[in-house]
Amino acid sequence: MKPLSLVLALLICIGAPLTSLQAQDGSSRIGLGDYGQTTVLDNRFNPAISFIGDMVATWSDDEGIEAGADGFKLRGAEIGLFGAVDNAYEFHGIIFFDDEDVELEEAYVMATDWLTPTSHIKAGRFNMDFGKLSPIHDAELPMMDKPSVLQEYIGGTLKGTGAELHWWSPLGDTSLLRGSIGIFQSADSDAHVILGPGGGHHHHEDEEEEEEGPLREAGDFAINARLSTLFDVTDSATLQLGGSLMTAPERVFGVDEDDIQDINRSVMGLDLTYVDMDESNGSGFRFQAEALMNDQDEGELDDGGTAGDPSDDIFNVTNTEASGFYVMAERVMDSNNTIGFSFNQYEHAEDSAEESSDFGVFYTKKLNEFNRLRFEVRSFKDLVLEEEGVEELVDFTAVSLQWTVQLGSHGHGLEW
Amino acid sequence: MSRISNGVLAILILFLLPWPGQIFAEDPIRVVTTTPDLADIVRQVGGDRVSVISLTNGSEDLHNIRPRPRLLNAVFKADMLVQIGLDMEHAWLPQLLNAARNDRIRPGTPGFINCSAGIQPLDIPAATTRKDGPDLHLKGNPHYNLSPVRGRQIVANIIEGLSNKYPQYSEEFKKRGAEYLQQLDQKISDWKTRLAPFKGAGFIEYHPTWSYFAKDFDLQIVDRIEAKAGVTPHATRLAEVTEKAQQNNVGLIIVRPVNQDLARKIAANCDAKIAILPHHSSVKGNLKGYIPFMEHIVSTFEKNLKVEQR
Ligand SMILES: [Zn+2]
Repeated sequence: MKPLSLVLALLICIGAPLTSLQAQDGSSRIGLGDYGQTTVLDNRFNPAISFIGDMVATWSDDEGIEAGADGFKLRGAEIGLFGAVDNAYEFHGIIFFDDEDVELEEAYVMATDWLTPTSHIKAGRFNMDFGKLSPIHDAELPMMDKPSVLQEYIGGTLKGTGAELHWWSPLGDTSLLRGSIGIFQSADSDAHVILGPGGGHHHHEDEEEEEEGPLREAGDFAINARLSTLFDVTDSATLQLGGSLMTAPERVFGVDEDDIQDINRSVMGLDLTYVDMDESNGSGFRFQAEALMNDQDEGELDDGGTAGDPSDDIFNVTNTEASGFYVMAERVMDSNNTIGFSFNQYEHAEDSAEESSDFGVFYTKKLNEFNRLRFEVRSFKDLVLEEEGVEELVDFTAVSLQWTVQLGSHGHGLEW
Repeated sequence: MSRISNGVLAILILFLLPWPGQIFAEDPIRVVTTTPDLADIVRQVGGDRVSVISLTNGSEDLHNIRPRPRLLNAVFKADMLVQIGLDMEHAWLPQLLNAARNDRIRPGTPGFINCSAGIQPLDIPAATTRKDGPDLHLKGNPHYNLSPVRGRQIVANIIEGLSNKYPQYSEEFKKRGAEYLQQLDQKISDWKTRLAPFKGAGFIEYHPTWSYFAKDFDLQIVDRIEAKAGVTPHATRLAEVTEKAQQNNVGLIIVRPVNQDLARKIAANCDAKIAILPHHSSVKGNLKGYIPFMEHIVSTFEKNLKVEQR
């Protein structure tokens, strides 16, 4: 927890939206130019506030080793604060709570009229624009957890403190191109996972005191870029193809302070999404797939030669390339009932000879706009679980029931 | 490092690409409307001066549209935007406007027309509660396009809006608009004559939709299957409505095509017919155009209302 930044973000979010986006004043006479729409940035909420609570109960048939989540769990609660100043700035702050931690999930400013009308800049701490399911919050997922291939390579969500430029352009009347490029202090990950390779261990893995490293050079920042195209293939269906690339170079001291070593990491993602919705009744289906290629260096100080003698130590950098994917499909039966499945398969990030997979089916029932129940059965094959420092590959099946409460401001944004 | 210079290069390329909204600045005036009714009326008033795109085709549930490339591009390129308002498009239009950032159609500027200007909203909820879910009609019933009398106000708003933004064509818009209003007035008096025998007759609706229409023609809405706009009725609600239909000898239930199954359950237990009516005219086919669409609505009521039930 970083109380200072938390307080700062709160102040920004509360203080910012003092001016209004809209010309509405609540009087009964409607004018010709009046907006006539309530938006997620409505000034009457000053700022708009949202609350999301997520409760999960899980039972698994794993024997001996803890799959991580038998019983009831509060996955977490999120409070979001949003505001807008005229057409120029938007402020977003999201704070995450669970039973042991308070955490600043995201806090950023969006400058929307600095550049061209079709570009904006995001600055602060936020989820990087990488692929489809990495940037979204857990409550918006079609299934219970971030796909395990994302957990394995990017910890569920790629997050960073920095700035990101977003841009789009129409391509004819029914297609568009969208791109973004971001520069970040470093790339970290943050997911609140119940089951999967990211389960068990907590967020902020990187919180341990960072050693004083060598001076940064310009190229040492993490860079994330994404390019995607969307096509309306029929009156009701949209196809999206995208590619994302994140590189995070790091410079560390090797055997001593004169030995500066590069430890690099990059992840590339390709994604395909097909959505077909009948807007007369809200039914439809979605197919989505993402493939990830992870390339990471691992540095290890080898106490070679005479044990305990630092003069003949060797700093070994090993490189591992691993890849994996998920596919998912869901059938939206009506606006309240959705069924789907997802399948993950991935080589381990640190040992590409090992492979894991899982398959799950899920049913989501919207009780109303504020309440949602989800039932999920997922079967894991060769999942890495750790018990007392010993890693084991485990097969098991888990049944989960998830209850999500969502109050206040949440819009159904443009999916791109 | 070259990674940075590549990044800078990529940014430069992005900005060198033109954005098409600025390329074709000249005629015709590109008007985007949220519904086909509004598109038709803009065409009637604007004539050859306008090219009109409707963001929806008439069959969708306007409370539930998915923002997608065709819609965003249309909003991005538009010179004018015409909407129903009263939160009708609140689930998707703000997102489109927000993403398109088209200053020509920003709310509060002459390029933005809210057709609910001058309409006194009906069915404003007395209390707002989260019980059973949110009310989709917090600002009152937005389905005023189904009233031809309010339709006159829509036409007047569009004439005023087009004239404000393009004063050079104002005379033309006013002349064409007046002609269209005259046509509409004739139809209204015809429709009133035809529905006069049914004065006081009751019907049941699915969604809170037909209040304005009922007011125009002195009809009664006996009950609504949705207790609150957008809330799916449960079995107990269906039983309540069925009982009310029986008590009041209701002869007609009006639904959209997607809700007919629930309406049939009620109709099976009382002596009522089901009429399936869309909430908007269509972009093509025989329900294209506001007047032909209203004609279809009126004749459906005329054929199905019971005279003896008042
Ligand atoms: Zn409605």
